[in-house]
Amino acid sequence: MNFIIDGFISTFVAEDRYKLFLTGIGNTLLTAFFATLVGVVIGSLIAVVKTVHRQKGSLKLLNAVAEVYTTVIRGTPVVVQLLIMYNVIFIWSKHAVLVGIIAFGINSGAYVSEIIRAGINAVDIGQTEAGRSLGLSWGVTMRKIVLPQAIKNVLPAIGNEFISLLKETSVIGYLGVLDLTKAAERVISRTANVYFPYISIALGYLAVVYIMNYFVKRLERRLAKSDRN
Amino acid sequence: MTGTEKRKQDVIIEVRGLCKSFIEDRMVLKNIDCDIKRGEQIVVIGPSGGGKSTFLRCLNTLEAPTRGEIWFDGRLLTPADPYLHPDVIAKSSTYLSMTEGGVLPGDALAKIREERLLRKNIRHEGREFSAALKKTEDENRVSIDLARRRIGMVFQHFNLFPHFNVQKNITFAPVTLGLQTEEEAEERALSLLRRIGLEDKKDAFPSQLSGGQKQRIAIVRALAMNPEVMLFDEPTSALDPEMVGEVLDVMKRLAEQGMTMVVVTHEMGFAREVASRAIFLDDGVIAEDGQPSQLFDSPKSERLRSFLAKVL
Repeated sequence: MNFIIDGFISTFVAEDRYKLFLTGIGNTLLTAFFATLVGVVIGSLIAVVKTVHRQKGSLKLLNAVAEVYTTVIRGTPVVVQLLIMYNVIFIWSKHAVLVGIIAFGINSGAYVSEIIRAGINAVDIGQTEAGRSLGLSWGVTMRKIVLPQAIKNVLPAIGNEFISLLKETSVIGYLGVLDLTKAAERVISRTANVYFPYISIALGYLAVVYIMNYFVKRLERRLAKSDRN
Repeated sequence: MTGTEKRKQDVIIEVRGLCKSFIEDRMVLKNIDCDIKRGEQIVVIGPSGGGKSTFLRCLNTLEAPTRGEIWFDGRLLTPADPYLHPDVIAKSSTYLSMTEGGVLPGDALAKIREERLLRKNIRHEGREFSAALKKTEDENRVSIDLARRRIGMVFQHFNLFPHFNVQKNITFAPVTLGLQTEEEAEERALSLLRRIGLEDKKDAFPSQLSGGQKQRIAIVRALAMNPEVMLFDEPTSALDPEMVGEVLDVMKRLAEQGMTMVVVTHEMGFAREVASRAIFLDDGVIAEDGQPSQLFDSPKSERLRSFLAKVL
């Protein structure tokens, strides 16, 4: 029992170390949230480019760029991408969190684009044909008929993408950002007690993911219900 | 008024040299020529895989023709096909080199059209050829979206918009395109729904309707645009047998009002009773074309005879 109390005190209380964890989880959530936003924006653009190319045959160059992008991003580890972003591309930047958001956002965009593309493909081609046969342009048909159905279908998958991104951000410490994982390491370097900080942050991640999961599941259920009518 | 202009006037859709292949070297439609006149009710019959649906979907270029042209009300819907324009071919470097080499102009033209000798990359046929082709297109082509407003289409699988209710399904296109105000469109939707006895369903969503109701509403959705032609792509094939009648009734009333219709169908009773003209499409060509009674009672070809024997 003493072991736990001592661990708690040395990890959280002494020298106001709980502040490290609070800053840490703040940075973790901040990075994950904005990276998901960046990812959804990039992912939608890439998905639309690929869909336009597939259905209309235009945008050849952009489509080639999109293909290279998804191949490279999905074919290399996120840590390597992060290090290249910080140490090679944004070498002049001091804003490690911002670079992290960009790097994770670009990484997430590749996966989100596949999610949204699958969502668009899953909408029956007859919907596009019905829209076009009424004289609606391709753009209007896409925006008002296809995308609303596609996005509704992929919302839970995007929620899951946010959850996995949240866990992936634990490597942002490579850039010296004080995230939840880095906070534990800082504390360990002072107290030499490894058990308590590591278990604590594991529970911290788990708690956030659990809450997120709850909302995603609820969303899934609600969408399924409106499908049945 | 000259003869051709007069002919053009009552022709609403003109199909010229239509070819369609989905896979290289496998033609689904083989060089089809067909005039569809205003007020005609045409049924397209034939064995599955014969190209019926592809033919219908080419009429509003939902399926882009591989070769050939579709004309709607005197305007070109597809890219111009150089092989259909002798004056354009005459500007090509292929033609010029042939005539310079001593081939007679008429022979060169015939050879080029028959053997399709023009290079795929038309830039290699010379600037004058490209200019002539572009001129033909500029003079005749109409925006496909504008043309489709006047060509209604009904699909085998209804394709109602599941995220809109019935009323919005009907009013969405005319309102979005600025053809009717919200109030006008709603009024029109209601009167159309009343005609098919489904006005009480205006707030329902497609998932709450039966197949027959869905298809009748899909017909109304197309009619809300005040089209001049209606295309039906096997409108009753996905329906339970007891719901076929209600959809055919709506189509029959439409025909009685004089709507120009092209219907791909397996309903031979409907074809015989309602249609003013029947087309038998087999293996990518129009094998027979004439009065329904003529096709059904005295088929000329063995293919049609054996087809009718199977379906009747």
